[in-house]
Amino acid sequence: MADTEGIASWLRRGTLEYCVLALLGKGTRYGVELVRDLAADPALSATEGTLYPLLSRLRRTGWVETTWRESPAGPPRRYYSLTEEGKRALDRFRHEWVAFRDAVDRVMGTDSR
Amino acid sequence: MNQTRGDALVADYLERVWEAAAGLDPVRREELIQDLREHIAAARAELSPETEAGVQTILDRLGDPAVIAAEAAVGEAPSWSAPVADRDSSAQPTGGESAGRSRNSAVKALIVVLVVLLLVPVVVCLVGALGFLAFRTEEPVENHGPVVEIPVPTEHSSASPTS
Repeated sequence: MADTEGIASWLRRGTLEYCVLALLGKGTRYGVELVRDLAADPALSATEGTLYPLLSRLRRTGWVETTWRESPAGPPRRYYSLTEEGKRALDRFRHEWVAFRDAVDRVMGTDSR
Repeated sequence: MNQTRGDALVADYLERVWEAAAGLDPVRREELIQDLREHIAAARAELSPETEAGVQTILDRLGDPAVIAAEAAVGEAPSWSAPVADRDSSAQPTGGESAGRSRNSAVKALIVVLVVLLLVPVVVCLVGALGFLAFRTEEPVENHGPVVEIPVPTEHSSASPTS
């Protein structure tokens, strides 16, 4: 918790899974691409490999489901998409997030307005 | 040659993840390795000429095996998921693609109901027994009469007066 990396990983907990849901909210995604997109943002402090346990939890919760599709080259690809339950969870998070973010910003003095 | 070097790198990496995840549930551990193996296979297929450096980059981007294993050991379900799953199972969503999921949660709900139904008689018996004991210990002498009277009207009552 003392260093910046600790703070980032602390903030990441409980938020990153909803970032996954949000990306999937735009449409079905190929697993490798999905993981790369998320890991590409250093602020999210996630390596590609750490996202698979997270995806596995989302599958088990029933918020995300997977389908296999043939690939033009290489092995069949696993595609991830949101379930109806996942969509509802994402909507709830968006609602909570805005209220939470605004409150923290007010207290921290980090609100842009 | 490159192919086998790449294979060796991958095997070594997966071995390290496997070791780091020793504390995981066996099914989770196997699933984690399977997910990473799929990722690596798909990413390798995208390397037009596969090089050792290319494979190494794929593994580097996956990250430290210990960190991946630690992430896999974090709580079974995403935060705040439990009440959501419960509510949705009773709501029976109509979406066709989630039918399997809701059937799954319906089965879970059924199991919970059965367990509760089984527990009710046990709890009732326990409460009864406790009440009975409390009754006895509170008034040890005066209430001996009523306590003994209870078994008398049963089979014993017909047996004892006749003999």
